[in-house]
Amino acid sequence: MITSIGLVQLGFAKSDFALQDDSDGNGVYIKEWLSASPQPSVAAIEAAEIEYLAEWDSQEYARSRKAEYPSIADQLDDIFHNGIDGWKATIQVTKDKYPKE
Amino acid sequence: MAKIKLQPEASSSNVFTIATPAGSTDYTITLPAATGTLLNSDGSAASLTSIPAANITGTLPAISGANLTGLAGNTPSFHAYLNATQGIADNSAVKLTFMAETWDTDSAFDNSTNYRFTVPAGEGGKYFIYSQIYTSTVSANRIDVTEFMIYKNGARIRREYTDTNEAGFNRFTHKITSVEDLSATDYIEIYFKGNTEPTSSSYIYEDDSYFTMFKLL
Repeated sequence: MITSIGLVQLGFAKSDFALQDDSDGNGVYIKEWLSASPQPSVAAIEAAEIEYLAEWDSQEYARSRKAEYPSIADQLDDIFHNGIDGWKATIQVTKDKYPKE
Repeated sequence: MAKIKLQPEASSSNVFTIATPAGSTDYTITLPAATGTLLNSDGSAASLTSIPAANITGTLPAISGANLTGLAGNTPSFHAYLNATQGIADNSAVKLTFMAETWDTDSAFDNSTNYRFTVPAGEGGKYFIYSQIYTSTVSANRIDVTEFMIYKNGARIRREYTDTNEAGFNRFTHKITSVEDLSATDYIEIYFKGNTEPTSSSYIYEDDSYFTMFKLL
């Protein structure tokens, strides 16, 4: 299946192509190819999308940690009151909650 | 004492007759104190011209709407809507599949195969077009750029464009309106394109998502 994600993963900008789906059961197709580089095959696009999604999934722990870390202001306050070791202990709680796979 | 002077044109052989109605009643015709030419009443007023608007006064008689005929009925018209959530592939112009109808006066909207309104034979004219859709994406994603479009005969003719400068939104209702001059066999479709970050497609919810048109004139 042709996807914008796959094409971007291959290094193309979103302005390099125009995708369309006429809801006729044939799915998304490339309506306009605007890049000076050759249009990749559907198989190459599909492989690139799988690669992107695998990379995305592998970073799930990082996204979860980022969402849960205290704000920078709170972390500075933590260092001020509890020192570096206290701050590290606070951060470690989140790291342990979302370990790297 | 006033005098009445009849002055026939010297070379004319026309005969002018002043006729009286039957009966025994006396009638009086009072001529205006002015020089001019009498208007000929033709019964339909079709030949009465150049009457100054300022001289036309009075109140129009009340006319019942029941007596008005030949008025345009603003048809064909239809109202179609989504009856199921439609997924929109990321960064792709996707035709919206309005599968259900509230009404369709001329069966001119195809709600099962092509999802388009086609102008019936003999129904060319100016048409009012309106569509709105309720868009969303999963909470972990955002929609950065959208294009809500009217297509005529397979090509985009109108677009509602939104660019959030990567601020994105999660839920939004888009609206697009136009009046178009259409001919018989022209067809109108609705497309949506959403640039969703970082991974997911967007969705068009069935609630508040519809497409309607009617003939103006």
